[in-house]
Amino acid sequence: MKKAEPQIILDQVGIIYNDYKIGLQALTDINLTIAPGEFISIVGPSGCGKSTILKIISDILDLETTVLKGKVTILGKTASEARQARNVGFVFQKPTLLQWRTVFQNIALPLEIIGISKSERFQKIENLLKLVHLEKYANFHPDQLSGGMQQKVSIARALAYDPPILLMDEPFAALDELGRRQLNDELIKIWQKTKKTIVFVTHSIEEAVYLSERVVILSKQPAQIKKIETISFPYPRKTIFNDLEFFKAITNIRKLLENEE
Amino acid sequence: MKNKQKYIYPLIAWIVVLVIWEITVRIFAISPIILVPPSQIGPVIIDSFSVIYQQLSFTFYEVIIGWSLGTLVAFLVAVSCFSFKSLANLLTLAAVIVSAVPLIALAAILGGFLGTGQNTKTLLVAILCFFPMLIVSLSSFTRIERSYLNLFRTYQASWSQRFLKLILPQSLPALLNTMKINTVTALTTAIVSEFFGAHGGIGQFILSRKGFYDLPMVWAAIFYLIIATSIFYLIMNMLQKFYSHWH
Repeated sequence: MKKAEPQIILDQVGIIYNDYKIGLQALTDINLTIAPGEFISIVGPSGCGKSTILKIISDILDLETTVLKGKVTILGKTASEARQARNVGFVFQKPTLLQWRTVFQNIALPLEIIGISKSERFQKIENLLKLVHLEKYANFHPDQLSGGMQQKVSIARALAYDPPILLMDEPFAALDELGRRQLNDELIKIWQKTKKTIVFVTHSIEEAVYLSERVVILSKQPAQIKKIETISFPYPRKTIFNDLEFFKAITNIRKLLENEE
Repeated sequence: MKNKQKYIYPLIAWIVVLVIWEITVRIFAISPIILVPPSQIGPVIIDSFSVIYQQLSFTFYEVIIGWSLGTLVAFLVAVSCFSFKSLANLLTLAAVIVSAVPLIALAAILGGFLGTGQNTKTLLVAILCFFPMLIVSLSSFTRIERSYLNLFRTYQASWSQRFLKLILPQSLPALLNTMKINTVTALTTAIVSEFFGAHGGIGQFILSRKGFYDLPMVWAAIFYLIIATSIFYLIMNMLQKFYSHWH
């Protein structure tokens, strides 16, 4: 495999709170490089700042309450420039759909904001609906869909303006086991088709190992990178549940995290 | 079938009330100065339409202009300053304090230096509609979930895109509700301020007729007032229903 230039570089990145927790460090000495098209997951004790890493990459950090240290480079630019160039798509823990818009109109939202013509918009949205298998639900409103479907709409919406990087913040945390498995498989397919770089935050070690090529394990606050595990099972991974190695990988990571508690 | 019942039961209830009213007045021989029977009010209602209509339109001029003005200015003030957090907080606090003053009591004083003309009433109506609208607008504009704002940030959306595509549609149900409640506030304000002296209007009309013990006319005025208020309220209600349906 040819090693491509890294797409995301975090160099000595840290976060210090500037509000009532003033002086407290949330993240410290985070060094991470992510290659284009890579699927990477971040796990760690709850509240350690997993999601904060995504906020740093997407430049949506609340700078009134936090101070950012270190250097962030995305596609050779600063995080702010990358956001202005709309290089990053974000899928939040909650679907954050606009309730008064249909599925179709929700996916259209970023395209409207960018100012893409109606006909071009239509074509793109049709393709995205096919990608997430929601063609039949184009005219439904979000409250008529299940949680999993809503989250798929949210993924389609993030992909609408074709950002090379997709950040996902515990997107399937609210789903039941089966729904989550199903969406994990769909996400792998979407990733393989679109060749996006995906940075995926989850509190489920199993999900992280199942989905990604590398798993970043964070320590408790002030969070540092404890270890980066490479997961080399070939995709698709549907048969992985028969593989003892899969469970060994999970157990390894769990032990690393348990030492943190 | 269900729809029919929705209208039939209130109708029956009203008829029963009127019948009891009529019978009570006759049996106990209540003086017409204290309570007029419906049978005496009915004909007056029919005869006095044009007289009362004139007075009602005088009052509704104050109500509609004042209500629109108060609502619009409050909305514009909220739009122009909700982005500045501390200013928005300050304004909300000021609005809450001013709302606690029984503004209707100011009607008497306001008449003192602004005169008893129609514009004074319009202004008072505007002021009373202004504060609730300002408070609700500010609080709903500033109470948008952080993740939605972050979403729009990743889209690199402009201020106006964020306002028109996110904040306004999210706030509209609350705004429409306040506008609806304000219709009643506006009417009460106009009428009560007319009690303190006016050159016309339904409030002044009721007061002067009462002075002549022309109680059937007072009842007729109240009857038309209820109808006019209901129409205004229902229009706002329809607007709200139409919006939430389309929404």
